[in-house]
Amino acid sequence: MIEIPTVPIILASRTILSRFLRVFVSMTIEARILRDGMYLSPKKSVEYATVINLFAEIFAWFTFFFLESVLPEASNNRLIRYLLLQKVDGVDGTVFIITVWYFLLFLVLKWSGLEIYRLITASQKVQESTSKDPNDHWSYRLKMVIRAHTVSYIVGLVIMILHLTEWN
Amino acid sequence: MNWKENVNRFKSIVNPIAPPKIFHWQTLLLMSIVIWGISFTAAEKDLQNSLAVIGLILLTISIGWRTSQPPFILSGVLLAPWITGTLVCLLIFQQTGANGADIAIKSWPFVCGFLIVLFELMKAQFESSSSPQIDRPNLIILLLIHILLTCWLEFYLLVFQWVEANPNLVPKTSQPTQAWVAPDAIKTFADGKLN
Repeated sequence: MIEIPTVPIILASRTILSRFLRVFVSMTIEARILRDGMYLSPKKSVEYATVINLFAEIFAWFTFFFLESVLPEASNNRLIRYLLLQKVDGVDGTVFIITVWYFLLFLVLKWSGLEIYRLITASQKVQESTSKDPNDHWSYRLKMVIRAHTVSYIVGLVIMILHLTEWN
Repeated sequence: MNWKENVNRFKSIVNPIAPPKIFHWQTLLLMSIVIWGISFTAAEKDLQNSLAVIGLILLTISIGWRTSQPPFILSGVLLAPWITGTLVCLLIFQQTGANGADIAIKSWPFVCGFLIVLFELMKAQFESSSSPQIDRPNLIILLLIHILLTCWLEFYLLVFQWVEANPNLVPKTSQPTQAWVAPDAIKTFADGKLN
């Protein structure tokens, strides 16, 4: 009989489920903000929020896999302990820098995701949009993404802090 | 006398497996069986393997083709991408050997996502002669979900490596301590001097 090691499965599932929860919360909040800010239909706003969050999440995973392969052992162990055991060795400047860096990375990824998505679905979009649509200006779209991302990121941070205080 | 009977018998065996037209999934299935049979007669080992792989590829395409038709469509959802994706990953596993099992496992959702897009494009191409209407938003979301699943599987495999390399990551579980009775008490009880 094949013996399946349960510990890695449980540890990985916990991390993946907490990431999934964060993405799901972000999608819900951002869909609401984009709907009000960009005057979208509920379906379209959920579509936008889903695409930009999935796009950002995938690139964040790729960034993580890259960093994991190049980081020095000490930093790598710290990362592993945080991801698998939700243990943080004190809050210092590095944690603050990582938080800001992640905020900016996700912002750029979400905005790029939205632009790429609009480019791919361009032929369908032209029929829907009017000439005076503020959504046609990239600066307005960026403003909306910044607003949506800031709110969802703060909520995500609060969830993470609650999570950490529960486990530590 | 029996000549006609034998021909009829042969026809009754061949007819169900004979493809109704050349451009058909059964043609590919027959070709794969024939090539697989030929591979046994090849003298060189490399040629044998190459022919067997070609046979497997043709078999995968024919199964993908067949499963893109009813009854393999559930509520308008094609099952073909996932079935074909599984076969493609088995092919990858067969080619990479036991060490490449990781590649086959983590590439499965990505291959399925790619095949979903491919099947939708082909469906749009073959079904309507006018401008094909593909539900691009849904296709993009489906593809992204499949890529995310690939990332999750990669993470699972990474955690397996981490736990192997760092056994201290495994949380300590506390076992209930065994009941312990002082030897004197046992002796007293056995002698019937409990009170």
